[in-house]
Amino acid sequence: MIYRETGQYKTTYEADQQLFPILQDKVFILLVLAFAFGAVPFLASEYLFRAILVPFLILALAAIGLNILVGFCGQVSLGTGGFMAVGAYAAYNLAVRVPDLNLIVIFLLAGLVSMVVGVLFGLPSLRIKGFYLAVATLAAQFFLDWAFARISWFTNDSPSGSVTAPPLKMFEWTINSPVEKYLFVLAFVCVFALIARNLTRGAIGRSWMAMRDMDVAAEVIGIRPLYAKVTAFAVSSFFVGVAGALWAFVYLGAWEPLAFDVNRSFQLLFMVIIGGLGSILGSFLGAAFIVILPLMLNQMPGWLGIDMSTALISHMEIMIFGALIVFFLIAEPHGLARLWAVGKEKLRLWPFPH
Amino acid sequence: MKANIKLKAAAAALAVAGALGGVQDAAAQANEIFIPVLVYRTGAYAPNGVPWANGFVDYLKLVNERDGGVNGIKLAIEECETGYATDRGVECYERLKSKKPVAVNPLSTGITFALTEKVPIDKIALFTTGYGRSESADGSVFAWNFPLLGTYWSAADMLVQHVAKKGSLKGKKIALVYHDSPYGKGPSRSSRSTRRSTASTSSSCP
Repeated sequence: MIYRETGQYKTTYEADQQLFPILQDKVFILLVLAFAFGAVPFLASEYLFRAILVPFLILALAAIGLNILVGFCGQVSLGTGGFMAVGAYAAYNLAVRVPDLNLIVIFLLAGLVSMVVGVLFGLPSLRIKGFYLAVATLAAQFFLDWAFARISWFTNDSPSGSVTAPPLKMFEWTINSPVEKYLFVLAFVCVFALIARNLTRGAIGRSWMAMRDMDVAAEVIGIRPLYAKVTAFAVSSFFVGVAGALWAFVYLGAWEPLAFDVNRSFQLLFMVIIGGLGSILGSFLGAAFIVILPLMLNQMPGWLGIDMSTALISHMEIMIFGALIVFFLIAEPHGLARLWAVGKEKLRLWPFPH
Repeated sequence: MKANIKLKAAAAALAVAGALGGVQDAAAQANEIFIPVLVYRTGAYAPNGVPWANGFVDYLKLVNERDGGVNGIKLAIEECETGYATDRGVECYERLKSKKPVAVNPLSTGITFALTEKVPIDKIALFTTGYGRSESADGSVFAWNFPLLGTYWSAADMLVQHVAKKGSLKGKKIALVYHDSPYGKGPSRSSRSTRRSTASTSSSCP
């Protein structure tokens, strides 16, 4: 009844190809953005900002990056944590060695460094596919982990291998309070999500999807595999690198290579799979599922007033979380984004389904 | 690591008692002193995390039961599971911060590094009992870090001195077999400087 596109006539190609062709979608997205920028800073508590919203947004950005590679181009990667680490350490080295560099420039350059490394490790994807590529990217993960733990130049000769980000300063504005950090990250994520959405709608995104669906057929219709695969690795690593730099600088503040170990790669891959392969919205839903749900499960007994030992809560958290992952994958193998799409289809016919 | 769990638990208990002595004026207005207990009862490090956590919590309970708290002020405790992961540890700190703790003992060098930036802003003392950032032994470096029971550097130094008592180190080789994390890498620099002062050679092995 409410969600129906009847009467919305498109008379130009531009109107038909716009980002959100259905008016209700556009209004909904604008309302969400207005809420995130205008209302959340006044409503949320410090804990919500620091421990939930900021990590959720940053990991959503990383998930968008991985989704471009896995969901749109079909190249399975287990090296995401490593590429995040590249972004984080590149940003650290830039900030330490080139003082007075603008914070945004640092993050973008860190993304570029990560992009170069990503392209380098993406080159084997021309020869190896599927699980073999996954293993090759796993090698990238372990190599990068090793490099940041062993080569002391990357950590500016820190004795313990742990490094501390310098204060976040930009145009005389010190990003210190949780609200400022949240807004900074939110702005980054919104811009990058918009870029990703447009890239995947355009020619380059179509070449990625053709590559994913059938590489031989894509080659036959004139898509160069080298170009398609390498651009997917480049864009994906750029996003992931920026997310890594944000994760290190804005969320952690001080970190060691362990913060970007193989578990981070798995976590991001789960986000993409549970959220929905080949969907920008899915990256956000998956990140919310993986970041927020365990914390909620962990605090649930406290909210309900049930006295439970910490170990039992933690084990319950792992068990319930695992069961929910299995449940969602059985209920909807195409991820949460598909559930959302199904909901929208149903809403079109509501309240008179035939 | 496992062998000195008891020592660590006893030391941590001592540390808390000492900490509370120092800050009791500030906490005197409140009816309770809140102590966040960051533990790792799950994950790869649980075998040493569980006994430590049990000992720590039991001691705090003992202080409450036997002495009626510290100077009549009861201790309130709340555990939070970190799994020895830095991001979960930071989340725990943020979660328990709102209850106005006087001191936090993160039980992980990685978490200590992450919290070192946060505690001066929140004005919460960061206690590291036998771990943490060795440079905090000099109080002017990090005003809110309180290392107790020595640091990695002093621990490495003690070991070397102990061995030196049994015979000369001249020409001997010192090997540092370490855990590949900030926890394990802490002593590496001091063992290198010891090498310089004793004219022996050292090699590191992860």
